[in-house]
Amino acid sequence: MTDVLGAVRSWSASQRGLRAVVALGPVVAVLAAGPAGEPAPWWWVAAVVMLAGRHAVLPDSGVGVLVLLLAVGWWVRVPDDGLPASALAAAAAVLAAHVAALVAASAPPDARVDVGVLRSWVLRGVAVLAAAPVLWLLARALGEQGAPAGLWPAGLLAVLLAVAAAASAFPPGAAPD
Amino acid sequence: MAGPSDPHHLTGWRPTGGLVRGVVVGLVGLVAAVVAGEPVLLVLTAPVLLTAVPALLRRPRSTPGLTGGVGHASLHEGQAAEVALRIDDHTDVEQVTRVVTPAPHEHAAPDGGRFTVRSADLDRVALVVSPRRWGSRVVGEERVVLTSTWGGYRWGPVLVSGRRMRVLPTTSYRSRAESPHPRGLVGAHRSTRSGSGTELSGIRPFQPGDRLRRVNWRVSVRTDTLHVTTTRAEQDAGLLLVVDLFADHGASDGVDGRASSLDLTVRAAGALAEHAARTGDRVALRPIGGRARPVPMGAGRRHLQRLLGTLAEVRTADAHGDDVGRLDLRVGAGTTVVLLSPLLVDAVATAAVDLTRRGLPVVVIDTLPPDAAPDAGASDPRLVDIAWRMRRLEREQVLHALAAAGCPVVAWRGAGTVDEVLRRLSRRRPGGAA
Repeated sequence: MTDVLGAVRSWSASQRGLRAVVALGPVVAVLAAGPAGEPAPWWWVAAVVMLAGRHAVLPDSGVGVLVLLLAVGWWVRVPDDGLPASALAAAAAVLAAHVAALVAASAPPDARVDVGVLRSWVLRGVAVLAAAPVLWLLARALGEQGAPAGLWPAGLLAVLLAVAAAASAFPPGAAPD
Repeated sequence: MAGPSDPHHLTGWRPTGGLVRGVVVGLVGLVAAVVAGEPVLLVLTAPVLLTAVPALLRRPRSTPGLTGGVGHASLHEGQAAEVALRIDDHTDVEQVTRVVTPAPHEHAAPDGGRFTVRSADLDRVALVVSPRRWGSRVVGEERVVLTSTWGGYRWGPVLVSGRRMRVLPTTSYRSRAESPHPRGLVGAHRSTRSGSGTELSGIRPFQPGDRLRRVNWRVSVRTDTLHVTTTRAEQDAGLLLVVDLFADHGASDGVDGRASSLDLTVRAAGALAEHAARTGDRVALRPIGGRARPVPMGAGRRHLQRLLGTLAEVRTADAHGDDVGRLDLRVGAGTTVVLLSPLLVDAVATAAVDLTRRGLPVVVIDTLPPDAAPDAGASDPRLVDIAWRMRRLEREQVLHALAAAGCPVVAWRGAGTVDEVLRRLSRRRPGGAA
C-alpha cells in the first residue's frame, strides 16, 4: 500500500489525471448497468475497482484486458428488451479508460504528458466513439424489425472493412489529429 | 513506461499493451455479441477495437537508427548544452519519448529530461542538459522510446550514449589588482625597474646609451640640458596556485547550492588562474595531498585550458593528512604563492609560514565552509562532534600562527575576495614586511 501511495505521489499531474480516468472508467461502465435494470452485485463492483486500480498503476499491463472484459461482461445480464441508453455512457467510459491507459503508458509516470499527444488522442477517441451510437441505433432498429441470422457478422465485417479503408487513406501522422 | 530492464536488446517493434488490449477486448466482445446475440457487447467494445485497427494496418516496417549526443567537448559548471537526437527513417514514428539518465549534479530540461513529444515536434522541443558541478562526467546519456501510429508498436528503450567531458569550474573572479614581485620579460604588470614600457617613471638628464627617441625636448629646451623620459618596464608575474586535496569538507550541491571545501578550492583556483592568464601572467598549479598532476608555469589561453582541465579532474586522497610530514613546495623567488586550503592539515600551514619567512608573497585562501561538519557514518555522533570541535580549535590556533607570521588569510567569498590582499602584497617591497 505504501508503495502504491509512493508511486501515486511520484506521478505528474497529467499522469494522475489520466490514471484517474483509467481507474474510474471501468467502474462507471459497470455501475451504468444499474439504471438499465440490472445493478451489479457489490463483489463484482469491488473486483472491478481493485483491477481498475491495478490497471491505473500499470497501464501497459494485461490487467487492462481483464478489467475491461469484467466491466463489459456484466452487461450480458442486462435484460435485452431493447438497448438502454446508459450503454452509451458505459461505452464512453470503457473507451476513455482504454485510451487514457494507452496515453499514460506512452510516457514516463513522472513526466508531463505532451499537450499535442493528448489533443490528438482526444480527437481520435471522439472519432472512434462515434461508432457506439451508430451501432446502438442500428441494433435498436434491427431488434425491433427482427434481424435475419448472419446479418450481424456481415454488418461487422462491413464496418471493419470501412475502417480499414479509412485508415489506409490517411498517411501516418495525418490521421484524425 | 514499460519495457524489459536491459535496453540493449530492445531493437525491434513490439506491440504495446494498448494494442493487445484493444484487439483482445474488441474481438472477445465481437464474438460474444454474435454468439450470444448480445448487441450491447458490440456497442461497448467496438470503439475499443477501432483504436486497434489503424495501428494494425499501419504496422511499422522501418528500422529506425538513433544517434545523438552533446556537441561540446567541455562545459563550465552551470552552462547548458543541447542534446541532439537524430532518427534515421522515422516514417513509422508518431511519438518520441526521451528520458535522460539521472546523474548527480546534472539538470535537464524540459520536465527534468523526461518527456514525450510527437515526432513532428521533435525539432521544436530541445532537450537541454546542464552540469551543475565541476568534474569529469558523462553528459547527455538518454533512453529513447519510439511509438508507432495510434500507439500500436514500440521501439526501445534504446540507450543513446552521452559524452564524457570535463566540466570546468566557474571562473567568475575578476580583479584589477597587481600581482606582487613581477619578474620576467613580458606582461601587463608594473615593474619596480625602469625599462621599455609605456608608463612614465620619471625624467632625468641624458646619459650615454640613451636612445634619441627618449629625449624629452620640452624639458631639454627649458633647462638647456638634454633630458630623457624614463618608463617602467612591463613584466609578467609568476603565480603559483597550491591546492590542498587532503580531504573534502562540507556538502556539495553544485554551482547554485552549498559548496564544499573542494568546490571552493577548485573554483577559486580556476578563477585566479583565469585572472592571471587574462593579465598575461604565468601561472602554475601544484596539487598537494590528492590525485592530480602538477601543471608547470605557463601563460596563454591554451595553458589556462590545461589548468582548468586539471582542476576539473582533481580528487582527494584516500590517506589522511595527519601523517603528512614537511611539505617542500620549491618555490622560486619572484613567485606569488596562493595557497588554497581548509587549513585542517598542519603541514599546509607550516609550508605557508616557511614561504612567508623567506619573503615570498603568500596568500592563504581559507576554503573551509562555515557550516562544514564531518559525516559521522557508523561512528558515535557525539564523539565525532567532540573531535570536530577540537579540530576547529586547532585550526583557530593555526590561523593565529599564520597571522603572527604575517601571512594573510582570507576566506573565499567569490569575486573580489583576494583583491585587497593582492594590493597590499603588491605594495610590499621584495623581501620586506608588509
